[in-house]
Order: sequence, then C-alpha cells, then structure tokens
Amino acid sequence: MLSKLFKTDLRSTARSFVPVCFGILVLAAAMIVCMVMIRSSEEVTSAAEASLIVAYVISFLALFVFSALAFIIPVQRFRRCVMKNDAYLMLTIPIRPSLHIASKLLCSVVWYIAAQICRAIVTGIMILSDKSDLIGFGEMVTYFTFGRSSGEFDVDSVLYVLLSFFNTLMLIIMSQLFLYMVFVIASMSSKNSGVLTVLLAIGGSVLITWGYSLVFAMWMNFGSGDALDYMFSQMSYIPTLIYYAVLSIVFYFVTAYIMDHKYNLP
Amino acid sequence: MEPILTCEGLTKQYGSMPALSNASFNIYAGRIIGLLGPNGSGKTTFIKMAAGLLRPTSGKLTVCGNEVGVETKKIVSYLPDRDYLPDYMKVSDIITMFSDFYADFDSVKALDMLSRLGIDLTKRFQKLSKGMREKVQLSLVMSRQAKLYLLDEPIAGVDPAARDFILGTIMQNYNKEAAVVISTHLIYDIEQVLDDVLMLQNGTVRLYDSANALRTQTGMSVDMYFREVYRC
Repeated sequence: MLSKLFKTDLRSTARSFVPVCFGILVLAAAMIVCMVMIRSSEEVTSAAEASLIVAYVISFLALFVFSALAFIIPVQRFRRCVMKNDAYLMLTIPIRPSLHIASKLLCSVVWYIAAQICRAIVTGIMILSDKSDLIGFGEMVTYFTFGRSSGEFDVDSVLYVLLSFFNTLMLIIMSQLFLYMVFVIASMSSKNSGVLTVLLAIGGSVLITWGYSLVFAMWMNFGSGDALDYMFSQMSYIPTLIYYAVLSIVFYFVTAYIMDHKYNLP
Repeated sequence: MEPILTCEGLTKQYGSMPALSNASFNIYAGRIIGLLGPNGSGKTTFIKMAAGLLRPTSGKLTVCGNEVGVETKKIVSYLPDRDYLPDYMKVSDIITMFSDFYADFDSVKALDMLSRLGIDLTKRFQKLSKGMREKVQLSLVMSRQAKLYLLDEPIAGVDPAARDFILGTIMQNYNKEAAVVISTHLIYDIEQVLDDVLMLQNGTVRLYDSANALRTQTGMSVDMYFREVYRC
C-alpha cells in the first residue's frame, strides 16, 4: 500500500517539481553555451562574461527555489491530505496513518535528491566553465561544495560531500516531521488552531535549536579544542545527524499515534 | 442476523457542544436507511464517525464487529457531501487510483457506468460540471462491493434528472448483502427508495423504524411526517 500511496503523492507533487527541474536543466545548457563562447574566443568578451554571470545568478536562485520547494510542497501535500478536502479520500482509504506520513517523507526525499542532482550538474558546469577563475566563481563554488579551495577529489572531499548531503536530508526530514506534528496537534484545538500552529512551530523551533546547541557544545568537548576547526570539519556533522535522527523518530511516532488514536478531521 | 453497523451510547462533542448524544442503534444488511434530520442534528457527524474521519467522544461504534479503523475502511464506501476527488487528475487516473486502494473496487462496473453517462475519461475532474462530478463520485463509490455505503447528501445541489440518475444508480448497484445509509434533507425525492428511516434531532435518535411502518402508523408520507415533526 505504501508504494501505491507514494505513487499518488509523487504524481501530485511532480506537477510542481518537474517544470522547475526542467528549467534548471535549461539554465545548465545555457551555461554550457556561455562556457563554449568564452573558451572559443581568444579574448573574453564582456558580453560572454556578463552572460555567464547572469546564468550563474539565475542558477543559484533556481537551485534555492528548487530546494525550498522540495521542503514546502510535501508539507502542503500533507496538510491537504490530512486537513483539507483531500482528507475525505485519503483518510478513508484503508491505510494506516503512519504510511501517510512515510509516503510524504519519501516524496520529499525523492525531490531533495532530484534537487541535488540538478545542483551537481549546475555546480559541475560552473566549476568547469570557470576553471581558470576568470570570474572568481569557480573557486567559490568549489569551496562551498567540497569545503576547500582545491577542486581535487580525495577521500576527504567525497566524505565532506556525502556528510553534507545526508545532513541536509536529515534536517529536511526532521523539519517536515516536526511540522506534521505541529499541524496535527494544533488541529485538535477547536479554537484558534492557526495561532496555535504558529506558536507551536516557533516554540518547538526554539527548543530544537537549543537542543542542537547543547549537543554541539557537548560534542565539541570530545573533538578538536578549536571551535572553528571543528565547525569546518566533517566531524561536526556526526552529532547533528544523530540529533536529527532521534528527533525525527520521536516526531514520526508522536504524529502517527495522534493520527491513529486522537485525530478528528477539522 | 448480525448487524452491519452497531452504535452503543455513541456520543460526539465539539468542545462543550454535543453533536451526537448517547445514540444506540443497529443497521442491518439489505436495507436502505434514510438518515434524516434538520441542519445540526448530527447526520454528517455520525457518517464521518462511521467513515473513520472523526472519533467518538464516548460510546462504541463497530462495523461488521470491528471498531472503526483500517479494517472497516476496507468494507465501507463513503461519499462525502462535497467534491473530494483530486481535481487535477483525469477520470481514468482516478479509476486506477480506486483500483489501487480498494480491493473491492470493480473497475469494469465503474467504466460501464461512466461510459453510459458519456463522461470523457481523459478529462480532468475539475473540468467536469458540478452534476457530472457528483455522478462520477457516486459511480465510483457504488462500484465498490462494500458492506456499508455511507452517502452524505448525494442528491443535494443537482438537478432533478441527475437526482433520478443518482437514485437509480444506488438502487441498481448496491450489494444486497450491504446496507446503504443516505443522509439528506430532500426526503420527497428519496422516499421511494427507503426501507428504514432514522431521524435525528439535536444529536439524539428521535425515531428509527421502517418507512412502511411509519406511513401506516402516522397515515402520512415520510416527507410529510418530517415536515410535521421539524416544523419551525
């Protein structure tokens, strides 16, 4: 049943994601054209340079929008399926509530991975197109991607990319589950559920951040003594990953329990 | 005979407001039950609880011996009082979705009904007229081989011709081992198909009897009796 539900959710969310994904790939193609123009000319013309800069900026924005959508749209889908008109269908199909949560999460993961693939393509083109650092973006992109200025691949850079990927993924999962839980708890209030949603979201975020700082501080004692070294090392991702994973499990089971035993369609 | 649906002291409160109070009754197979009552009498609340969208505040509600949950959703076919199918989907995709989710869904029957209605399966649900959307929803709900059909205001807001189609569809397609609960204000239109009448008032059961017995005892049609009882 999860696969069938996932298929329905994926299809529903794809209506928003596929055009964005396609747009980003078109931008990537535009950047390749700019790159070819720059490489083929003996002198870099200002027009080609400007085109590349514009393509860079738009690509960054598009990637940001895509990543944001990978978070927002599955949350919206959850609200529609559990609290709005779609709930009359989705909550009367013979599926456990926990599968509804899992399906929306899986959707989010799929679209996050799609966003990362687009990001990898665009970043790769950016690095290649500005290898000689004509504009200065190549180095910057390399730094943000691999955590260092050098574009050479080694175990450390691969590890950095992987940990960074999973860290963000886990953050998205945890934040989604947190919001699902907030929506479900707030919907149980017969009055001012909107205000309660906002208050719970803000209060919960403060607590999560406080907990994160606590974990970070405790872990730092076991790692390097230098806070800056620690922050830019792969080591900093490990406690974060554990912290996000534990919170995600808690939020998942609380939401599933409420939906299974207490939930009333608003 | 084992009842399809059993209510024992069923109560639902919204905050301090009771929507249904201490309702107890059984619904048996092979019956079409008219769930009647004025606005706010608890009809939709009862149907939503039986469909698994609301939880009782107290009391017991079982369908075929199971408390409302995943198992009962397999055998309950529910038509809400609003458009509830994904509006971006094509009708053919909605049929596929029903086939995926409901083991008792008969897609051949659904396709047959929709083709008789002349509905273009490639059209998106949102592109259909209100009457057509109602008909599509009802056709899909009645294409299930369910044990209990819960139809909330199935003929509200549609023209008389569409009402005839809807009532005809209910009569022709419901499984004789199943029960059909129809909630409505439009008693005159559905009186002909009702076996039993369940009248609610202020969240309590005012009357539950067969339609024929009611007519014999009161000397009035169900519609006239309703107007008499709920006169403002």
